[in-house]
Amino acid sequence: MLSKLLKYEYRATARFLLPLYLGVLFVIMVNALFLRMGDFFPAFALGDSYSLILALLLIACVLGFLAVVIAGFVTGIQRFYGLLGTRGYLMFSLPVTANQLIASKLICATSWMIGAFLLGCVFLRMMAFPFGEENLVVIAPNSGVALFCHCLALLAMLCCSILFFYFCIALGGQWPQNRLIATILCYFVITFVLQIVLFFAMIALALIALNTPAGVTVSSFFSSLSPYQAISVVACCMTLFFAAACAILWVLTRYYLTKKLNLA
Amino acid sequence: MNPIYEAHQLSKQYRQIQALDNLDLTLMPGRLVGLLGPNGSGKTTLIKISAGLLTPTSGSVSIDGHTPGPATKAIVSYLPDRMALPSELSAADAVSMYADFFEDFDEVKAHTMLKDLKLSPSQRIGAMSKGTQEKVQLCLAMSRAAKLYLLDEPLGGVDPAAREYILATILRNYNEDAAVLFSTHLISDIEKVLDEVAVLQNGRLLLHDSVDHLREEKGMSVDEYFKEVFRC
Repeated sequence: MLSKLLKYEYRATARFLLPLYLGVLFVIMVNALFLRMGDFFPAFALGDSYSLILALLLIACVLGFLAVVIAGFVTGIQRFYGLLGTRGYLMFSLPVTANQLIASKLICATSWMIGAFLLGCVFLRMMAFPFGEENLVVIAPNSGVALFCHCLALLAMLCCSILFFYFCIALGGQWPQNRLIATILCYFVITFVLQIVLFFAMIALALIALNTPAGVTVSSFFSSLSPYQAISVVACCMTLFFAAACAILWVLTRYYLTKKLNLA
Repeated sequence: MNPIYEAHQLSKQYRQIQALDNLDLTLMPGRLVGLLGPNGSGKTTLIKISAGLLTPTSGSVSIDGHTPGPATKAIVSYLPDRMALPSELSAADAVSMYADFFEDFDEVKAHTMLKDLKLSPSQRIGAMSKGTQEKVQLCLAMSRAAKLYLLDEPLGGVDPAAREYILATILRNYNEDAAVLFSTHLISDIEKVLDEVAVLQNGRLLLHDSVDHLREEKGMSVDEYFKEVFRC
């Protein structure tokens, strides 16, 4: 059933997002083409019109990339918000579990954001090395594991931020009226409380690291690592932290969707 | 024969409002039951709990031996009292979607019903009038070979000409293994097709009887009985 939910989720979101993504990719390609034209036709590259077009294309690429990121994220959140509205009367009467509903929304939203990230990578690659003569392996050898660990941490962070929005929507949906305002309020109040808690937790951790034998052991452990190894370990810790946060948010959201469902 | 639907001591509280109050209701297969009651009597709440869209505060619901969940949703055809189909889909897309999710859905029957009601399969649901949207939704709900049909105000926004067709469709489509729970205010329109009526008042079951017995005992039609009991 999850595959069927995903099929309809992708179909609904692609209607709007796919043309946008392809449009931005096209602008990036045109930009790269113009950069290369300067190499093949130096006389053309010296003209003011060339610089102007290049500058406009660059602005279009940056704005396009921002549009893709914002549209991808907002669409993912809006699809979940719609689930607790009138559309929920259909979706919750399908023979699927709350886990499958959450998973379909999360997988779809996450994959569109990964798509935006890849577009950003293509853009940066085109800007930094328009002639394809360099790559990351040459610039930063032995960075593969650290890069992979960072990608994992980013993925966990992304899922966590999407699930946090889902949880706020599910919580805001408990209000009989003005659900959107309730959702926004929930988001800001919970974010504020979490920031305070995390701030004090960080201070406590720092004090432990400085003043206890365990802290000294951890410090010496990090000192013995190479920079890439240290980055990898930190990224793995971040991945674990955000994975745990994802699990908590998932369970809470599922609780509201099963035990406290309150469709608009 | 075992009941297809049983609600036992069912209660639902919304903050200060008691929507359902220790309600007991049993439906047997092959019966078409009208769920009647004034506004706020708990009809929609009862249907939503039975469809698995709400959790009761206390009590239980059993559908073919299961509590509401994915297993019951596979055998219950629920028609909500509002438009729930995605507006970006066409009627044909909605038919495909139902066929994907419900094993008991009959695609040919759905297209035949759309054609009979002169509905264009290619038209976007968002571009349809409210009444047309309701007709599409009803076509989808009645194209399933479900064991229990929960129809919440299926005739509310439909024109009188289409009402006849819809009632005939409901009668034609449910079989002796299936029960229909039909919530409506248009009692005079549906009275002739009902086997039983369940009347709710303030979340309680005021009456559950066969239509023939009620008429005989009270000496009046169900519509007249309803008007007399709930006269303002």
